[in-house]
Amino acid sequence: MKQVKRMGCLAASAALLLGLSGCKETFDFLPYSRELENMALMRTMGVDAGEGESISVTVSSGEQSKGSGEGNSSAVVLQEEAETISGACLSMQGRGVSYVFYGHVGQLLLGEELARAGVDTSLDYVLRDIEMRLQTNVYLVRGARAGEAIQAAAETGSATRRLEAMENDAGLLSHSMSRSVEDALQDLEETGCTFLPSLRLEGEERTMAADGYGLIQYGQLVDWVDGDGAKGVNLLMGEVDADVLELALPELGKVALRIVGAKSRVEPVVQDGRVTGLTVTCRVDANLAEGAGEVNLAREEIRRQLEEALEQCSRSRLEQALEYCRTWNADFFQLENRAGRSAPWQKEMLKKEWEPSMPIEVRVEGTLRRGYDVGNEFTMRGNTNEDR
Amino acid sequence: MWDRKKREEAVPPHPRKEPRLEGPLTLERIREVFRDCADFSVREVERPGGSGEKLVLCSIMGMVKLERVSDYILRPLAQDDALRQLDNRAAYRRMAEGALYNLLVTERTTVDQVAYDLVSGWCILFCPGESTALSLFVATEDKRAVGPPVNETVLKGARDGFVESLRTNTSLVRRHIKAPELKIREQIVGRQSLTSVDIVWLDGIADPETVAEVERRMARIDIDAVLSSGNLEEYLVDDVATAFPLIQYTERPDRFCGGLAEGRVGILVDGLPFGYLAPGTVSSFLRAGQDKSNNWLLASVLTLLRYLCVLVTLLLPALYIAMATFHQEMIPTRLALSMIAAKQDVPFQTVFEVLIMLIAFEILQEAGLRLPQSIGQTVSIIGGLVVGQAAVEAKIVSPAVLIAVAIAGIAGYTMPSQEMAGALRMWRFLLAVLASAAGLFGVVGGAALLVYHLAKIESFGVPYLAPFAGGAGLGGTARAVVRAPLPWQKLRERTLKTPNRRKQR
Repeated sequence: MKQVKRMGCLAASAALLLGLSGCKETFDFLPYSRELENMALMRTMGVDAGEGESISVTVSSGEQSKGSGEGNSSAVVLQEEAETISGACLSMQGRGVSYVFYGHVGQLLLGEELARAGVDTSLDYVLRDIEMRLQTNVYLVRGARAGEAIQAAAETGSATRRLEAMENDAGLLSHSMSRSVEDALQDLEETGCTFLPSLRLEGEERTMAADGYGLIQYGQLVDWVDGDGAKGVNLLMGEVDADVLELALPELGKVALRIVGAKSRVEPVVQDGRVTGLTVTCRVDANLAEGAGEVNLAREEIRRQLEEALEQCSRSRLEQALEYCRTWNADFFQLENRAGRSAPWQKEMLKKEWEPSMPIEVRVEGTLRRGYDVGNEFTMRGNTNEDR
Repeated sequence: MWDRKKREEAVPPHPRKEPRLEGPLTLERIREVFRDCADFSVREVERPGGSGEKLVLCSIMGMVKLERVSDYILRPLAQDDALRQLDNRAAYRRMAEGALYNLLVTERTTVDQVAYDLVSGWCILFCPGESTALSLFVATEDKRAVGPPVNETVLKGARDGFVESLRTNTSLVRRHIKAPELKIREQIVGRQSLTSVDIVWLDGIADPETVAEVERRMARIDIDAVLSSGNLEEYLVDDVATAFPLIQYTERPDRFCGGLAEGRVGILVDGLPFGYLAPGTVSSFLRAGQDKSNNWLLASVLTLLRYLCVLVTLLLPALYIAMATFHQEMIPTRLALSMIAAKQDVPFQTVFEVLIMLIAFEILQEAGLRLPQSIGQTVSIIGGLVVGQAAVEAKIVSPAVLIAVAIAGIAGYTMPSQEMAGALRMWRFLLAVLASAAGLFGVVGGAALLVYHLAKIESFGVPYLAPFAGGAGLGGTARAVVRAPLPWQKLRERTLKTPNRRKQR
């Protein structure tokens, strides 16, 4: 036992003395360290089609604090073109003293041209690169290049700040939502189709603004969804926290309803042991935002009238979104999977028989929860004057 | 071969001489033994009615209470009519049987016994014509009064604390546990100090094998003196190649008795104002004295907090190094940007920053401990706040490092056992160095090494990691981190191998 201990001590001493050998290769097995302050943390990456077969990569750091309360330095934007994304990223390392670090890239922008050619390469790069994160949000830039969007944003701030603001406000936008690389890859793996949020550049300053979605089929951008169709996508995915629905009703005049929540459920329709279609049931909750003074929600027929208008509008939006699936014969919104999750015992049957062209029945249950006028007799549903 | 020979020459033999003092039991021999001892006192007393030969009373001044000598011995010798009428031989027998007023009288036959009695505060009475001597207990009981424990204060609990007197300490224990099953067995440890050490246990509750093992280890100790706690601890524990404490100590008799009632074995040492409890396990060192006084929910939350603090104090500096130099992607982006901004112009690498701050923290702590309390606080304030702030402003360290090290340090102070906190501090350094070499791989490797180390050590046959290891099951493990309501705790810990597990109806 003593001998074993002695041998152990000798081995440990030898291992420690190896450090004095001066041979760097001795410790090659250890990971390589980098000091944090010597890094440039890139926050946004844009990928575009370059000349010929090449790919253009643009990265932006976002504004960085100079420390000691000296304010922020402007965003660093680097752009390189190479045959691959990896090659472009590597060539950026030689552009400055700091190590360009991609571990904090939170947004990936894909130009329209590249998206139409195929998004697989870009998404695959995020999947395989050791620094990039799968939680990176991915956006399509409609009618422009991603690099152009990043550089335009850097002139007034940074693309990072703008996109983070959009992500934080996603709940307030009823026609856009964040989608991560992981979501997109998962959808593509399962059905070969997905949808990604799109951006457009507005005004002379080319400011980025949310603009519906781009539909991806077999790795390529095939169509854009905007307007009511985009709002229908949000209803379908249950991602509506705030939207204002303006109604002009003959009896009531102009009334504004504020949609405060929506939940959708997709279920298979089975007849005679076969899947014949799907039912999308969407429950939409809204409050009476304007016109509350004139509208007495305590009256059941008025409330029902408003709820019917809400249901009709929501149904129309949902149908517009679902129409894209029928048009392209693609399951962009993972309807099959969602139906399978709501009826797991019919999942196998769905897998065999489901076709995107199958009839989809849309049911909407609109509920008016409350008005904002405390003087009104109706304040909350189920708490009316009649009840009292 | 060569080094073994050298080692044998370097360490001379250390035989124990038995008996320690030889020769006939005579006054001359005792005088010889205590030659050059200024405090050795000899008083000749003429017994009225005797044959004119004088009795001799020997004692060590300062060890005896003079009033007791006068009242219990000298007064009856001078005034007792019954003694006056007896001859020397009969008077000697009479004194041995109770003519003198002191409580304890023993007839001694050897020089060894007499010498030991003298240093223990007994008086020795030599009578003419007798080959034996009477040993009379008149020891002084000057000692520190029983007061509240200094380092283990509780809000709701007894206010008495152990003192340096062994007999006072055993009486404190007896006052808390009045059961006759409380056993106290004494051994003398230390060739020169001859320190009394008591092994205390509850018969029928403590594991007899653990009691026997404590006795065996105690008897094996052959040192010069038991003057500090380490003199005993390091000889009693299973493994000295560890920084972790293997025996728990407490200044509080109520906590000591709580340990005895759980089935642990206690050790009290004359001259040390605390008691030891064995075996000691990780969970016992993370339990605070007032846990049982607190509401069970609060106590459970605080216990969980302490376990969290173990992780924080152990891992935070290492994780900081690993994340700041190897795994920057783990840091949330905003925090990473903030750290970069704070570290601008700091000339040192992160690992050196952390190590410098950890060492500075240790120096401050050590300085604070060595100084009187009032000055210690000043040093802490100057060191912690002024120097820390100045170091950050001078760009010697970054604020993030300062915060990480300070949080790790403060988390260490939540440990009820400062010895456990000390061990964690040592491992914190090791983990920090490993993190600087290999990042998270180093941290995980170091943590695995720590678990291996802890799993390897035992305390009196009980796994140190018990009840997390050692077959205590999920219930036992949960009991270590959650202090269930006391009425629910029907059984004593299985790992203590108590013969009577049930502790309440």
